[in-house]
Amino acid sequence: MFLKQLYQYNKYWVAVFLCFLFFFFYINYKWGVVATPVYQYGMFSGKYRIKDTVTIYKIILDDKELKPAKIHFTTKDMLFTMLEKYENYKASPMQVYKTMQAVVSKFGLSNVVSADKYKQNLRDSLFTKWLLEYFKSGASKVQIIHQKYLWQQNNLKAVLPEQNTSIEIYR
Amino acid sequence: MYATIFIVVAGWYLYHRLSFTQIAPVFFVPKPDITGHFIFATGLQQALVVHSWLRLLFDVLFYSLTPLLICCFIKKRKLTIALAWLSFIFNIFYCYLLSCMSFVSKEPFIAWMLFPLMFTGFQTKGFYFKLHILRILFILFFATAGLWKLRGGGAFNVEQFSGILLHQYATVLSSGEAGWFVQLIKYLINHTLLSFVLYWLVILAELLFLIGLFTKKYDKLLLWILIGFIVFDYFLMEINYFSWLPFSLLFYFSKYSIPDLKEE
Repeated sequence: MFLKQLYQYNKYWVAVFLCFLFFFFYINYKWGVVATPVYQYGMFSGKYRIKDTVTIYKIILDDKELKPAKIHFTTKDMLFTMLEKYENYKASPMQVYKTMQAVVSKFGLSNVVSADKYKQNLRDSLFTKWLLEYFKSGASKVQIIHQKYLWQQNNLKAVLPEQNTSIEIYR
Repeated sequence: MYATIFIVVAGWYLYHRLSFTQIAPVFFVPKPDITGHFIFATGLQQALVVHSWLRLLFDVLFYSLTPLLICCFIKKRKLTIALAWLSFIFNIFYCYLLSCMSFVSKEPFIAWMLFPLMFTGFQTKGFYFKLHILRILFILFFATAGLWKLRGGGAFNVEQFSGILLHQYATVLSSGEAGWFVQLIKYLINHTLLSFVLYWLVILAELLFLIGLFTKKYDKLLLWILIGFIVFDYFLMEINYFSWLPFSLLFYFSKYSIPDLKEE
């Protein structure tokens, strides 16, 4: 058996290996917080439905909508995913800190990371300027909007009018 | 071979402007991760946003440590062991922080984090054991992805893969643009049963890896399944799991054994 051979070769390695396995199964059982490099590989395991409404972000550069199909998926993901992440994070910036403090306080380690380490200078103008620079766009006006869509008759169709996001227009 | 894979895959990331220097982030998004929480204690996440020299230093170190480590390992330099441990720790920092400042998930980076540990010694026997430890870990990573699809309920939802594709390509589909790829995605969204079969094929492929815990006889098959999964993910899902390619080497080299180790 492999574990027996490993034990005969190096007892310390067996301990490290078993510890990793223990954490891996524990994290998978608990379903939530991970501890790099021990992850939970549950991607695309939750239920997805085609009848659910989808919120879609749109980037308007100089009053023209950016066409996502014309750009490589890495740039597209960088722009659209980061913009969704930015808006969500802006809404509750200290949420992850609070969650993590609740976890680490169980081990008496709540004093190790102060709240200051999670603070940052979140400014819409900085973010939209970054977006323009990453996309290498010379546009002078950026507007971020979103709209709800639903899959109907072979297409995604808008079910509500376009709405402004919390991200201010950049001029 | 590991260094070659690293250079090609890392080259892809550089080409698509996915390094700290190229991203030049203005904010970071923390994740619920215990190690990540302690990484944040260093303040590196804030420094990377502010200092361009630090971003460059991080990129230079990340892209040079692995080739340097392999060179030292081949030439059996004393520096190797220290470099291996440094790579292990630094790659954890780099990959975690990069995932906080980009759209890239941290899970695909797991090979860059764990593989340096393979080079923490020169003994053939030690290398053999480390190879098999990583092989077992990867089997568990991959197989639990299948088990999660059963636990999460995705495996029992006929609309699952159609729904995933709809969410994955929502921005493109809503823009009303055409093209053969958009048509293919629309076809798969509309044909839920066909998509569900594809989803189940992935689940079966993931669960099949469990056989690797009991025998090495099917490792060649598992190797091809892994490569197929990576290619499928890249072209259909537009997710780059090529950084998992080093794990395929484990299923190729697992056929070798050490003469004084009896198989039980």
